[in-house]
This record gives sequence, structure tokens and C-alpha cells, in this order.
Amino acid sequence: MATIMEGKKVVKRFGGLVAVNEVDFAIEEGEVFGLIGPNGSGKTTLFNVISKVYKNDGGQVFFRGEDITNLPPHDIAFKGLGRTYQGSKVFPNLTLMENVIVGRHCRTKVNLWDALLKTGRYRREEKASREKALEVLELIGLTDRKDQLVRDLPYAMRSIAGICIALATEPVLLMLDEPVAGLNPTETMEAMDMVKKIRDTAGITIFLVEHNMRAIMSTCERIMVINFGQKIAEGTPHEITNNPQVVEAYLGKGYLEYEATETGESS
Amino acid sequence: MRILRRFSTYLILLAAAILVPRLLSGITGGDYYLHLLVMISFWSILGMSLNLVVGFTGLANLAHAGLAGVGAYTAVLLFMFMGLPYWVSFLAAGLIAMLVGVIIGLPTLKLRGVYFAIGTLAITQVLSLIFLNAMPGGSDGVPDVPHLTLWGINFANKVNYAYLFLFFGFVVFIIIRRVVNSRIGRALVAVREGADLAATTGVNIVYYRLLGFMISAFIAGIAGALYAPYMHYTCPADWTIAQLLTLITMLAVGGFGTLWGPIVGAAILTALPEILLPLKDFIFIIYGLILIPTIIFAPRGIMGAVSDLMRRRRAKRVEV
Repeated sequence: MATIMEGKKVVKRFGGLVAVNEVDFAIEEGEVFGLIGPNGSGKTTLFNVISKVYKNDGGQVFFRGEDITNLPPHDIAFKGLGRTYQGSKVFPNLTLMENVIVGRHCRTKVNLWDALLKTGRYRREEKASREKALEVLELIGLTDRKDQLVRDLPYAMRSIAGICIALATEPVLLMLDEPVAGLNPTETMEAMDMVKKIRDTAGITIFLVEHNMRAIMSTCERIMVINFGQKIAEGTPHEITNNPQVVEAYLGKGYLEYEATETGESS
Repeated sequence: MRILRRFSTYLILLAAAILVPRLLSGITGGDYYLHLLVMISFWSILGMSLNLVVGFTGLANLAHAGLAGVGAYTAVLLFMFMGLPYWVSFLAAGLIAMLVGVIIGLPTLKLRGVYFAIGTLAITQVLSLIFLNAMPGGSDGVPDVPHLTLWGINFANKVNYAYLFLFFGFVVFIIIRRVVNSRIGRALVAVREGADLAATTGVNIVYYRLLGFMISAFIAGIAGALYAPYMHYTCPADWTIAQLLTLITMLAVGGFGTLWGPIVGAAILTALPEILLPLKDFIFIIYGLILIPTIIFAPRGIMGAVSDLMRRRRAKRVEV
């Protein structure tokens, strides 16, 4: 399998704080790649650096073999990188359908004159955009909600609406920032099944940040762990759960010592 | 028949636009009502163009009155002092206002929220000072701006002016409607609803902010160029913060980010001072008394409330 995205010594500083410190990573085409780490460890910052919401302070990011480090965010979206935001960020005062059609922006070309004169291209693209948006809603199963304002949708659906917008841009790599935060266990399971379905049916590589351990362990093929902006581990879910550094980062040194005495006593 | 139905809204509007000025000119005191019609059209044109930036793109642009003034002065200078044909000066007024819009837009469009408001407010003040000190007439303004003669028609009477303003109002309405209902309009609204998300979804936010600003400035310039010959006069006091506040009040009452909001707002706030003529000195207090309840009870203005109501009705019908 080919590498679809590669980060080389990516650095982001906020004043004196190094939020992302020389992180290297590589994502293979077609996999579900997870990113975990304790609160404030720099996961979302890394996402923001990759998609250019923030400017990086060092390192490079390659996407499909091309250096995207200095491209503006809309160019990166055009090249096939889709992303969602934490806390179900969507366009609240638009209907679900309108939200998804915004995702078609980078795949359409209508300019001011097309719009003013309602040219053939305008009509063609309007029709095609609606069809594609319906297709995305069909895949996700939200077609019956298409005319509702997104701000009126239940929280779980708003989070999924964000994924629909990203899918409408026809990404080859989809970055999901905590898609199941705030969802109940059933909704979480459904969302994770959907993530796998997106990968399996549309062949889109997934890069997933998640706090919910059960969700990420059951979905990802490989996981990277960062703590205080630094990469501390990478491997399969099994390797990660048994990595002492990871356990320490999440549960503290004390837990390791406690566990050692516990096992020592029982043996 | 299908074509008739498709354009039915336009046809009704067109019929009204042709008949109303004719009928008004027949009745006694008709000139006064024609004047109101012209003023409502003028404020609607300014309001619709400002709405594109403030309502749809979500930028608190406070430079609009100044940009309309740029249009008025450009047109007056070109056709009164340089003797250019009116339609040339007219087009130039739009283009110069757009150019000024770009010049002030490039540095200010990077500012966010209230900083953009302060930046553009400063520009309105600067433009006011330019009108006062660098333009002919100074604070007294330019008197005796001749009436328009376009396409062989002399616009000396109010009926013709009413037609002219209605025509431009109609054109601007269609322009704004087509822009809003296109990929461009959706990009503008996406920028308003969430700039970061819009950017990572593929919208070039700097480009669309500037494009919206340019369209808006062009229309403002043309509105100013129409207004000066109609009033026979233009002066710096026509294009100050007071005008801007009136405009913003109209948008707030009619509804930011709605197609009909600026027209409804312009109609209400132009008619009201006339009805309440005895209370003329308290007009800004009256604006306040209208504005506060609208913001409390219909935060998205009258047309915003109407569209919410219609959506709820449609949703109910779907459920049944």
C-alpha cells in the first residue's frame, strides 16, 4: 500500500508552549489511522496544522506525494483532504441539504457571470450538486432530514452532518476530530460502523482523533499516541494498549507501580 | 403557460412597477407619493447591496454610506465639470466606488468582527472629510446638479425618475437574488456561518469576502450617482454615519440576510417619518423604539420571522 499522507517533524508553537513537537507520521492508503492522547496533548492542533487552519512553525506535510505545507486551506480541500471539527461544527443556519451542497464548492466552477446570466453551466452544476448531495445523505442515511435547519437537528446528527459536508467534497483522506464525543454508547457504535462503511464503500482513508477508547480500539488498524505534543507510540490497537509509556500517559506512573505490586503479589 | 408561471412573481412586480407611477401621477399630491416611491427604491438599492456584505457574508461593513458618496461625487464631477455623457459617468461612479471598495477592502477584510466594523467606520469618516475638503462646494455641497437626460428621455419629472429608480431597484434585486442562489452566494453564507469550516471545505474566504464587497460597492456607487441628479444637489452631509445608521436600522427591521428584508425595511423606515411628520425632531428616538422590539421579538427582522414561520408550516405539512 502506498503512503497517502506523511508528516515530517511537524512543529507548532503558541508563544513558549510547544503544542506539536517534531511529530513524524505516515498514513497508508485505505487504512483507518487513529490518533489518541490525553487532553491538551496536541491532537486537534496537529489536525489544524495539517489542514492549514494554523500555520506550522516547522516541518513538512506531504499529501499524495505533494508538499502541502504552504498551501492555503481551500487548495488542500481541492486536492482531496476533507475534515470535520470537534463539537460538531457545521453551518447552523442553513438546512442540511444546503450544508452538504457547500461541500460541492471545490468541485464546481460557476463564476459570477454564470450566476448572473444563469448559463448552461450554472443549471448543470446546480442539478449535479443537488444530486451528489442527495447521494451523500443517502449513504449516511439522513435523507429525510435534508430540509431541516442543522441547528434544529439533535446533537448526534449535527456531528454526522459535519461528516456529510466533508464527504461532499469527494475527499480521498477524511480527518475526523472526535466524531463521537458526547454521543451515547449506541450512537457511538453506529457512528463507528458508519466510519468503517465510508472506508469500505467509498474507499476513503480515515484519520481519526478520538477520546472514546472502545470506539478507537475497535475501529482503527493503526494508532499513534501523542503526549505533550510529542509522539510516544505507534502500532496496532493491541500494541498500544500494552505499551507502558501509553498507560503511563493516560493513567500516571502510580498506576504502573500499583499494577506491578498487584501482579507481584498474585504470582 | 409554464413560462408564465415561472416568471409570475416578476410579471406581477413588473405590472405594478409600470402602473403605480402612472396612477400616482394622476392623483392630487401625486408628486409627493412619487417622491416617497423614489426614496424607498433608493434606500432599497443601498440596503440590498449592503445586505450582501452584512447579511449574507456576515461582515459588519460601516463604509457603505461613504462608498455611495464616492459614486455621487464621481458622477457629478464627471458629467457636470468634465462634460462626459451621463451614462459614462454613471458607470464610472460604480467602478470608482468598487475600486475604492477594493482599496479599503484589502487591508480591512483581514480584520475580524468588531475590528472590521471599526476599520470601515474610520473609512466612512475619512471619506466624509475628503468630501468636505477636497470636493467642489465643500460643506455646502454641489448645487444645481442638472436633471438626467438618458436615451433621449429627460428626467425632469417625477414619474420618469420613479420609473428609473424602480428599474434599477428591480435589476439590483435580480442581481442579488441570482448571486445569493448560486455557488457564490452559498460560499458567502458559508463564510458567515463558519469561516474556518468554509476554508477547509474548499471556499477561498479572502476571495469571496472581497468579491461580495466589490459587488456591494459597485451597486452603492451607482445608487449614489442616481441620487445626486434626482435631488438636484449633493453634499457631504448626504453620506455620513447618520445615513449609515438609517440603513443599518432598515436592514435590522427588514431582516439581515433575507432577499426582501432591505425592501421591507426601506419601505417602513421611509414611510414612517412621513406619517409621523409632527414628531420629526425625535426621529432617531423613534428608530430606536422600532429597533429594540424587533431585535427582541424578531432578531432576524420581519422577513426573517416570516421565513421561519413559513418553514415551520412546511415542516408541519410534511409531518401530516
